Amino acid sequence: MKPKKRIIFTLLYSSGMFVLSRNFRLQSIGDFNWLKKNYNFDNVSFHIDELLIFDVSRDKKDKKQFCEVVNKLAENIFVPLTVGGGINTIEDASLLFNSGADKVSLNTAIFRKPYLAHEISKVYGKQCLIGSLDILRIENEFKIYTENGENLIGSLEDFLARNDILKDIGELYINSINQDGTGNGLDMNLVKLLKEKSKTPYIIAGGIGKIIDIKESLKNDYIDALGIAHLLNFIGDSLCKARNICRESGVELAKWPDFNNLG
Amino acid sequence: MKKIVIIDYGMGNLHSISSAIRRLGYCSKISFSEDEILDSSHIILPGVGEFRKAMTNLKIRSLDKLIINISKNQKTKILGICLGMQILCQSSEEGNTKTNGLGLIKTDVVKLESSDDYKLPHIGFNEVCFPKESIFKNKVSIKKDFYFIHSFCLKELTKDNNSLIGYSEYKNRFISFYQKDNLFATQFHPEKSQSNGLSFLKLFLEL
Repeated sequence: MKPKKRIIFTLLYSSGMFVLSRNFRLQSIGDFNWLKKNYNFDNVSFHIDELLIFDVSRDKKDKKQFCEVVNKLAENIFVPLTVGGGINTIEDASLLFNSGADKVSLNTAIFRKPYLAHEISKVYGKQCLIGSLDILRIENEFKIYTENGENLIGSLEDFLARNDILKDIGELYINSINQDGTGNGLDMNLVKLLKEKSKTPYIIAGGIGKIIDIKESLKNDYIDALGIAHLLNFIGDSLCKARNICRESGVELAKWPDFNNLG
Repeated sequence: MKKIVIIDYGMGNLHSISSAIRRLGYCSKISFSEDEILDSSHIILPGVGEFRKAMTNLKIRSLDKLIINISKNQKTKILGICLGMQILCQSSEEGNTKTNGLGLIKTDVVKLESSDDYKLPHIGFNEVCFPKESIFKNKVSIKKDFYFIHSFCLKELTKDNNSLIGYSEYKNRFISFYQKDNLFATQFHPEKSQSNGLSFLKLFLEL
């Protein structure tokens, strides 16, 4: 039996603020207190299957400050928490695990530090390592870019055959740069390529802007896990509603009762 | 007074478990001190990572014999989570060679069956079907969703009397819950399973 499909929320963090990204251009929205108080993130987090936090700071990343934010967020979240952004050494990864991360994510370092994925998976297990790839579609080709979408690495299809790297990675997080933050829906050709070529489980992201996009995407047989990063479009009860709408249309999602009735 | 110890053997998401316990209104200690472990009412053996490394770390801290001793003493309840469940078994084939475990659950750890449609690791919320004699079964339904992330699992048990087994299904059925006397083990992560997981931990801590 297939596990339930997953709705995964992605928080983007940049120099003390949570941000929105559109085609990788960042817009500041609010700090940690805003997220907790105005956004009521605790409530949002009760309606998701996993949470990702990426430090996308373009300037020098303040690792200590980021760990503090992760630590504070982790305190009240009872789903897996994946943290990424600027991990260059196993010590960077360990710091995040010690701050409450259940998994870490590598992006640029997959290519720049070829031994790091192996080093992390040897200690923490490959299931704790997500490979995050930013994909730009140029005509009908899908290319991997690193360093916030600035540096061309090569073809996604070639990468999906690289067992020397993928043997240490538990899951891929595939984000479409073209669709990122547009609310235009997923790139279905990208999804099709992943379905045909990826032996590694994958989360697909980029383009989800409305509740209906969540439902339509998860109804697709090729999609088991969906990443949502549009902070402002999923405010209040919208993820709770999204789960109900998905279920009504036959999408299998996990169920759990309200936190007030633990027993 | 509950004395809850999360065993620190350098393998795992200790903070996630202590946050979950705190949310339930209990205090816990993260420790590998023999005195604290011997004095505990509940111990939790977390575990994220690789089997061989887990066993090495347990031995370095002399925790292997201590856990075996505690399991004989009915006053302490033990909960192994994920890799913490697997190391309670006799052995594991993870890492392509056989590594011995603590031997408290009379079975071995093998690779989960997979295919193109059922990739490894098995990731996500999946149903756990608790045995109806277990206190963990839901009052209404015996099936509940819990979070899994693993590539290995327990081989079907053949000769373990009085144990209660719960199952989940991926490509095929596998053991996701084990209970015998004071020993409890889950292949899923209760600390990462929203309110279903917190309810499970609450029942365990109330034992």
